[in-house]
Amino acid sequence: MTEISSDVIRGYNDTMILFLLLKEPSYGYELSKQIKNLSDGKYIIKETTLYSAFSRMEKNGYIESFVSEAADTGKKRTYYRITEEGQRYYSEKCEEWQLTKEVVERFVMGT
Amino acid sequence: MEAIRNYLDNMFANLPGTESVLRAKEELWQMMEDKYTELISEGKSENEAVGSVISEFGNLSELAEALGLEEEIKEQQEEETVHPGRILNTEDAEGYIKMRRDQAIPFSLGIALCILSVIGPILITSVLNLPDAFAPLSMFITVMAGVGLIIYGNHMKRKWKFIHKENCSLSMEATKYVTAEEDRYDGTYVAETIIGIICCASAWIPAVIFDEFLSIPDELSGVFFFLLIAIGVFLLIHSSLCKKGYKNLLKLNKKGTMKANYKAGAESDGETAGDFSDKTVGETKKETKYISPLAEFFMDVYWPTAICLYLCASFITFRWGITWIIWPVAGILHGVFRKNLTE
Repeated sequence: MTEISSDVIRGYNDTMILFLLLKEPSYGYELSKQIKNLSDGKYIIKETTLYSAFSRMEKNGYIESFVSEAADTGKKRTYYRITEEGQRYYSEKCEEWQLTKEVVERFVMGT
Repeated sequence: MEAIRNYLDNMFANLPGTESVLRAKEELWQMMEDKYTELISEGKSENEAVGSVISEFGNLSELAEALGLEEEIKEQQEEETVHPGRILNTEDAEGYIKMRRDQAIPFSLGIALCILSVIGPILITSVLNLPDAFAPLSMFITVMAGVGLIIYGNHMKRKWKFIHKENCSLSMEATKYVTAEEDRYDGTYVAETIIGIICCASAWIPAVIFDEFLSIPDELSGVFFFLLIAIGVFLLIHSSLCKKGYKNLLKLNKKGTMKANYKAGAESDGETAGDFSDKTVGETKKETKYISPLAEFFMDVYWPTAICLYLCASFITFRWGITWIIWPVAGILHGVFRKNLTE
């Protein structure tokens, strides 16, 4: 079975996280679970990858973190929400992907 | 659960305990715990759950940028120390704290002896009825012994000088150890400080008691006065020197955070209030650097020496009306020396 190369997907972890955060603020494990489900289990994001994306995007002002208690268990977690800057960045990344996809596809043979 | 915790602890064991590292560890722990809990509730066995949590953890090198530790993590993986930075482990921290404690005794004892040096002359002239010439002699000997102890105490620090010169930081475990030890020492520190202050503040009491109720020569009350002051000063200096050992070690990590924040700030151009306060703390804590070890030693013993000079001059000449001149002169000279002997 082929696996996704982490080199290729690296540039689009941010896109996936921001897409999910557009709907509602969320926390680490919830996001990794959603990424796994939405990709039908074809992409499992590593914890370290996820955290380094959080930290980088927070530094760049694309997301903000806040501590909140979970509704069900009352456990305290760090939640992330998207900023306006982040929404702009997300649209840029989407355009970038359209372009990338278009270009790369011209060189890929259909199976 | 225990296995996951151990795994994470091991991963972070040799990293410095800076704020960004602690935060990353805490966040990763949250995610791993959530994942583990869910896997168990889905009916997976303990082994399976631990296995998949650990296999999906990823690679520490990915965190380097987030932690502001590009160099350290690369180093750790190359198992090579080209960079002058050094991470102190628990044993190093233990050694440093022990040195600080050992060194505090001769140093504070030396200063106490300088204060006690005035007792000899009092006893010789008023109680023992020895020739007057012995008075300055006994004072001189005591002061010399005191200065000797101060030099000895200072000398003991030499081996650990690198802590301040090189780019050192404490490992995660060492940070935990030092924080715990500092907490444990806190009780002793408070007790020593309080007793020290009481001794100094109540030094005049024996004089009053002797004067009012007992027929003891006046001069002896002076002996008790200086004795109490010396005990008080000894306790105060000793406790603060011991305390400084822990503070110095923990300060090393503050420096690390400061650097990391600075890097982050330079990259993104935007600084939060938190970063800023950290930086100012780091800057105000910058210690004065002297041009040579001799200069540093000279400045270290400057004030104790001034006290000795003042007391010697006053007790030998008994002209208290004039000897106070030493203080303004010493103050001005201190400023001059400080300016010329620092880098």
